Amino acid sequence: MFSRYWPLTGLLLALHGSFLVAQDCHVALQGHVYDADTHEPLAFATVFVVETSRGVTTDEKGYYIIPNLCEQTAYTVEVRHVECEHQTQIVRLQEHTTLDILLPHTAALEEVVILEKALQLKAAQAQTEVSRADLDAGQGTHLGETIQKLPGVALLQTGATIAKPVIQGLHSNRVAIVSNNVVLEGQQWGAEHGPEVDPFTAGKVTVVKGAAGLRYGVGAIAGAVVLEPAPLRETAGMGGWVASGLNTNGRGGVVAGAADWRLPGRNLAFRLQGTVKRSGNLRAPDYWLGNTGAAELNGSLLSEWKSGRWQHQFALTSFNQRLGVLRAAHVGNLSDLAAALAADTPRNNENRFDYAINRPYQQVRHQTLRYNAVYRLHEKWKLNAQYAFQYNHRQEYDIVRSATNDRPQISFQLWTNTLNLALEHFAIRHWQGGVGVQGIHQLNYVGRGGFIPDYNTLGAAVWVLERWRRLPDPWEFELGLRYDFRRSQVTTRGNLFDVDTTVHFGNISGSAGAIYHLNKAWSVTLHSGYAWRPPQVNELFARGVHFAAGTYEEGRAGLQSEKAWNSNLTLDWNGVRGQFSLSGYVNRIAGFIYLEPQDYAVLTVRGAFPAYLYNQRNAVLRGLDASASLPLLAGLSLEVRAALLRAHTLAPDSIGEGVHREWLPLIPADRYQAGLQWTSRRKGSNSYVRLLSTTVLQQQRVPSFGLLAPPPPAYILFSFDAAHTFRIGKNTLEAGLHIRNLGNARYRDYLNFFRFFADEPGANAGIRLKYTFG
Amino acid sequence: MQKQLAFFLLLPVFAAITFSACKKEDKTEQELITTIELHFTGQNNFNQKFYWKDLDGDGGAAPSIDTIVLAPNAVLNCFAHVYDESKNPKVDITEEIEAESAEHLFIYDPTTNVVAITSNSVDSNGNAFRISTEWTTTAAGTGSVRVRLMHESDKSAADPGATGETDFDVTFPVVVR
Repeated sequence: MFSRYWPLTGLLLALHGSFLVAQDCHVALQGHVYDADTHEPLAFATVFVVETSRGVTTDEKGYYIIPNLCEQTAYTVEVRHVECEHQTQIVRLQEHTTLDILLPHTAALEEVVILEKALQLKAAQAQTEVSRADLDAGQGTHLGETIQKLPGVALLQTGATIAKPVIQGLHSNRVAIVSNNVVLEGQQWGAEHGPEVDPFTAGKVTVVKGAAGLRYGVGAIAGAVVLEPAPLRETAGMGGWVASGLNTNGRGGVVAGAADWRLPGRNLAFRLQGTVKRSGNLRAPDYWLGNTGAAELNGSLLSEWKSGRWQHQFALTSFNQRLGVLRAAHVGNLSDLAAALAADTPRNNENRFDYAINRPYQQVRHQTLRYNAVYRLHEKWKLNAQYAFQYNHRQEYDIVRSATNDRPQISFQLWTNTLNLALEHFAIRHWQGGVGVQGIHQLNYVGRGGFIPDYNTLGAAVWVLERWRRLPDPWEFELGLRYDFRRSQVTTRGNLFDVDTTVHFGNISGSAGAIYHLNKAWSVTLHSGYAWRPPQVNELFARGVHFAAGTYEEGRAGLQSEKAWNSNLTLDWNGVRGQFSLSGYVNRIAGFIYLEPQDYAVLTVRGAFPAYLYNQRNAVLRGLDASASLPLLAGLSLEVRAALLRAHTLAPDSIGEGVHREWLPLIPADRYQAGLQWTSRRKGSNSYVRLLSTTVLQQQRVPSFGLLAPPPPAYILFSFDAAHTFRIGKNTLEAGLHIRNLGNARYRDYLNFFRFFADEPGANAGIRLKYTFG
Repeated sequence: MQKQLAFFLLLPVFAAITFSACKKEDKTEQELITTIELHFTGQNNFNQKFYWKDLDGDGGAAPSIDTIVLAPNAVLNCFAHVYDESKNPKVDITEEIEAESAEHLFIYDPTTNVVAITSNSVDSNGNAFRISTEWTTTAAGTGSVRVRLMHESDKSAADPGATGETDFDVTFPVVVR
């Protein structure tokens, strides 16, 4: 039947045939055993392979692995647990296979669901998953809040409401945000443009560190933040959750919910999800932060349909946000800014609580549509096609002279179409991976506020990625290569300065990694990645005054692509109760694009502003991320994390003989966290109490000139978290309590652009409830 | 049953989110000041305009700045006009500023004593506005005058220029001869 497809199929079969010379008996079966009712992992369950008379017992995470099975052989797998019915399943292994088994608790006759999938190899790239507790506690705020506890992750903020992830010192265009398999395309170049994703859509959030251009395309020089939805329902019926949260600071509330449905007798499952958020002015320890309210209304639809060899996924998301921008941070010129810097309390501040969001504010909409089809060509090969459409509309309403002006001062609209085609294969001779192509089309329309021009971009990419693992061999390898091309037509219309040009950029990306598993718990990973990004339109063509920074910024049309070579060495220990990870990295960037202070000022109608021009130089970022979680006694555990980073540019020195090192601006200061957590050891309980301290040192390594004010001093913050899960029949109610900035500390952060104008918010207590049913 | 009801209750929420997306808008530039005009009138039919202009906005070509040339020992009336000349026809922002005079304040700072500037011009609340001023020149000399338009400043403050925000902040060279 394959001859019906393209000639390539014949080639694939020929290739495949050639692999079947001898039977391979180094195939492993692994997976988890869960309680079908509660989805709790089941420890001490026996997984027994009848034919080989070999069995193993699951560990405390419900995990088992049986190595050295033969391919193309039928095995009978028996699973037993004292509290459950025992189950038998016949499996035929093609390759390393993950078999998750749900054991029903009661004696009643119920269907056993076997989730069989290809073995997910551990990515060779350093990555950290946000813990369930941090995800639950952070979902009611913004994406940054959920990931900022991870080592190597910091936040670049504009006030308390706008936060962009910083991964190992880099942000904005250098970090990809991937939500439900779609790389987010918004106006990422702006430091005050937050990511347009709703954390409530995610069931899992992972931060990928280091050059990730191979997987996520141009731009992912520093890494990626990957949000994945929770899997859709596997059994027929209806389920879902409703969550709500309240916060004292800002008197904010959030309500979110999702309904999951799988039609009986059909392979159709879907989910509807929605989030509503509202909050008012936040309060710093000594004063209200005028105009810092926020409102958000989001919705999403996710559906999946399986039929024979086909699997279809269709998803829609809508993100709508209005964010107040601190009134006190609005300045007209340098003398206003100097007055703001000198003032003890914020100038022009509305020092009271209010829900109203007045000018200046941002209004952002982001909509995505995604259709994905997977066709299983053959038991080892599948074809994966995805089309995604994104529409981003950003409007900024500034303070205006005329009271009757209700128009935005900035309006950007961005349409993005992406088409991905990939031919993927399960492990063949222990190699697992695929090849693919991508096409992208992007249209940017500047309705108002010509800081950047309009552009029309066409791009294409071709990639190959393969990984090797042969259990029980301790080695694991990854190799990948990708080529991207981008062509942009750039024009300005009705603007004060004219741009009409076409630019194109093309480059390769690569990834090579090796993991050595010392034993079941310890592993060492060496990964090296090469990624690039073309200069963004603002870096090429921007022209204007950046008022919050008090600078005049100008693009440089001749900029070249930025290329990063990132290497990291990681030592991991994943014990039953504890975890330890130490990772050192070096990111060498050729042609790092940054704003370079000039020795002249530009005279404008609002006075003279110091000039900053986009320029590129070679830069080196070196850092260390560490985290550990160690058991003490009686359910108590200690967690510690540290992130250190040194980053500088390399410029020829004035006499042209050596190199002159200059610290990069806006690099996260060294930060340390230490926490004490008590976790209930009662079976099936997720209860915990946690006290965490975060220490951020003063950033001493700053550029020798061009800084408006010295970086703020070091600070220590304490936070408290607790959660308990109640069981109500088959359903659960999770209740959580958190207190941020426990001591109501007065502080400012170097990575917050509004550090010149006001303190960070003071103490906040919040409660949250989440009812999960079905 | 209840679950299914909850499910259908969510549907209109999503529909509302999806369909509220598109709204048409007109394409107009932001509020921009390119030109400040000081219009002097006085004895002997003196009638002259001096300009501070930056027609291509911030950056690009440097602003063109007229030198204000006045006769010695003279008393002159000055009226300030503000324009956006990047549009065609040019936008006279002066009317808008006068209509919202309570939120605006002109400030004049002569750097030398070649000229003394006073004003009786008041806003809709009877507070200082200073859109029109009286300039009294002394003996021949050179200097400069810094002219600012403040927005939402505290007019009762000791230094109103240190409150509110600056709409423009320009400096004219002045020659008295």
